[in-house]
Amino acid sequence: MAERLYLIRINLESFLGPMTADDVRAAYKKMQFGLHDEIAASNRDWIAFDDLARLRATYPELVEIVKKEMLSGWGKTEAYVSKSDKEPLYVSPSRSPRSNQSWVRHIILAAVLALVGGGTFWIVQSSGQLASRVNELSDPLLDKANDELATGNLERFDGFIEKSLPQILDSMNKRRGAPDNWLPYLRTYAFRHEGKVDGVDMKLLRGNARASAPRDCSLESWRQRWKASVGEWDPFLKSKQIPNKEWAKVLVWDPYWIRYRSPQKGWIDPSSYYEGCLTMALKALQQSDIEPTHTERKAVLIARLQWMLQQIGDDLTGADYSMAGGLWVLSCMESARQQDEVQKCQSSVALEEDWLRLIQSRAVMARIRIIVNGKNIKPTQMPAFQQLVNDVKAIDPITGFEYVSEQKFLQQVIVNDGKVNQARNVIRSRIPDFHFE
Amino acid sequence: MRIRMFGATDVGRVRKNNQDSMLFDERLGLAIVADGIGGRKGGEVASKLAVEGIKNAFLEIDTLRHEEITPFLTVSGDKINQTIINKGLQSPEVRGLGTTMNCLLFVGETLYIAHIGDSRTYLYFKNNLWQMTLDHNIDVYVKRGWLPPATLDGESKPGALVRALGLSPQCEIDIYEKALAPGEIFLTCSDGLTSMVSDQRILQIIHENRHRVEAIAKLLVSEANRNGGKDNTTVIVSEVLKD
Repeated sequence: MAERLYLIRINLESFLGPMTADDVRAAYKKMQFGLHDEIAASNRDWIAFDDLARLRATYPELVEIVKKEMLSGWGKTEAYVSKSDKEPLYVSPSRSPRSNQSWVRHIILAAVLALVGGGTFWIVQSSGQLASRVNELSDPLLDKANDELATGNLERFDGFIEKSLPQILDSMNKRRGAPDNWLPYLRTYAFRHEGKVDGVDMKLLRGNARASAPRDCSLESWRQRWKASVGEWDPFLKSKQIPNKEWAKVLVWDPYWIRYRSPQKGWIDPSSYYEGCLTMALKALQQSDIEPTHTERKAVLIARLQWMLQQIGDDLTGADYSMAGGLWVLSCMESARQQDEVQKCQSSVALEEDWLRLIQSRAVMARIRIIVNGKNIKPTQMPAFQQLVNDVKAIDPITGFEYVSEQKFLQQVIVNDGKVNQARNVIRSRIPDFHFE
Repeated sequence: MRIRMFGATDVGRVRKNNQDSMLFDERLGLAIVADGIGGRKGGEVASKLAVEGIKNAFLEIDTLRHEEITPFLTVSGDKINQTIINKGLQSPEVRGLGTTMNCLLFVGETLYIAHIGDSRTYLYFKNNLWQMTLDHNIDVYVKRGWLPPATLDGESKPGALVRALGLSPQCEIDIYEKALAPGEIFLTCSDGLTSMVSDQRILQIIHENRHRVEAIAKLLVSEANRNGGKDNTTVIVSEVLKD
């Protein structure tokens, strides 16, 4: 008789398999999926790995694997799980909420996350009947992590994470919701150091960043990227071409796009995967021992990365864009406060192909930002504004960033005869965290 | 990988018109099933807009890199959603129109599925069948804890759609990714099939006809009609072969 096959659904985004139970065990060892992911056999229900009661009822043959390979100590966890009559927390299927940014808010966010981590109760339905089950208990380690971060003494916070990592990983494996609660802290730690945490899947650290962002933004991956790309820097910096490589695409990311979407859910500092990725790219480049003949080019790339990080953090103290070529044009347009400045930036450098397309689309956004800038648009400006809005591309041709929310907002501005606040209110009724300034 | 596709659609035994639309094109690696909802004409219009919208968006682009596929599908879905909403606002005779959509895009050795509503994609492999997509209806949302159980206490039907193109200005399409393997067969269908034929019977029909895949879509549609054909039924079968 043929061996039973299973399919694993990861994060409601991708599939692994079909595979045998042995393959499931091997895939878990390779950290190809986590406890919150789901598994199904042929024509059977999808069940999350951490829903042990349903797993036992539906796939008893998998329970041993789960216990042995994934949940050593699960029995202990079960022993102190108690029933709760609390109201269930209904989770929204929405994917990427956004909110405003500031350090104070980061701390508040950290506190809220810890509270959620400590006090969230879930009730799940089992076999068609509503049965409550507590899946998460207060985690003193999580409280401690939050306390350490809140003191602002990041060296101490690092020390705490390093010392507690085995227990943190253990906790992440045992508790439903624990990975989500721990990720903000692990990301903070990771991107202050190597851009990774041993024992934590890169996909978890990355979260739901756009598919166009690099899969791996660890320091080591950036060292390799820079080393391998040296020969391509010259045509890139001379605005001749934008290689279809991650290093090049990251250098032309739109810092405004990132800033409008930061901090992302599950991120404290850095405020998003994009910011973490840029931080690692910069660190790796600064540390690299590139040949002296490339020193000037390296300095330009470093300047661009620093500029983007300052823009994302809205910290332009000492911001400088001593760059060259297309990178200079991009940064120049990002700093422009007047329409004629955009024009000057755009016409200062001869651009070819990819660069020309990119700069044209970014110039449209720069002009729109200047017109909108929190003010209502005068009737005399409306025809030009409408033309610009028509030119906004839904997807950036190089980076793959989507501008759909921006498009919707700008269309609302037109519908509301240039009344920016009114348009913003309409958009926020649909996208609560939307911001464009 | 090489993909072979076969499709069939039928009005059924009860309905007067077919509100399902489909497209399959092996050359493009594209298979779409859309099941229209709302009014006699509206559903038909909406499902056609969805299929045509994806097809045209796909034909307009020169190249599509892997990292661009998810944004492409998301943005295309968003545009189609807006088009359907605008159509409803402009034409009172089709007001309230909407549609489900299941779109399969085969790129190299990867399959991308864009899914909204309760049309489904199944995977068949070696006498096994999995429903890959999650129905966006009240029943599933309540079971997964995304809606309170009280939602079902009122007049809401368990099968009522929570997400579909044209329902609201904010549309969220699920995008799935799967590495392909030879021997896999993907079945994309409207709920006219799944409401009339059990998953077990679907598996049996595919398994019995796995060596003549070209017959499967028609056989499944016939089975739905034999069981009452209460709804329009559309089926596309995509078979993955070695190059």
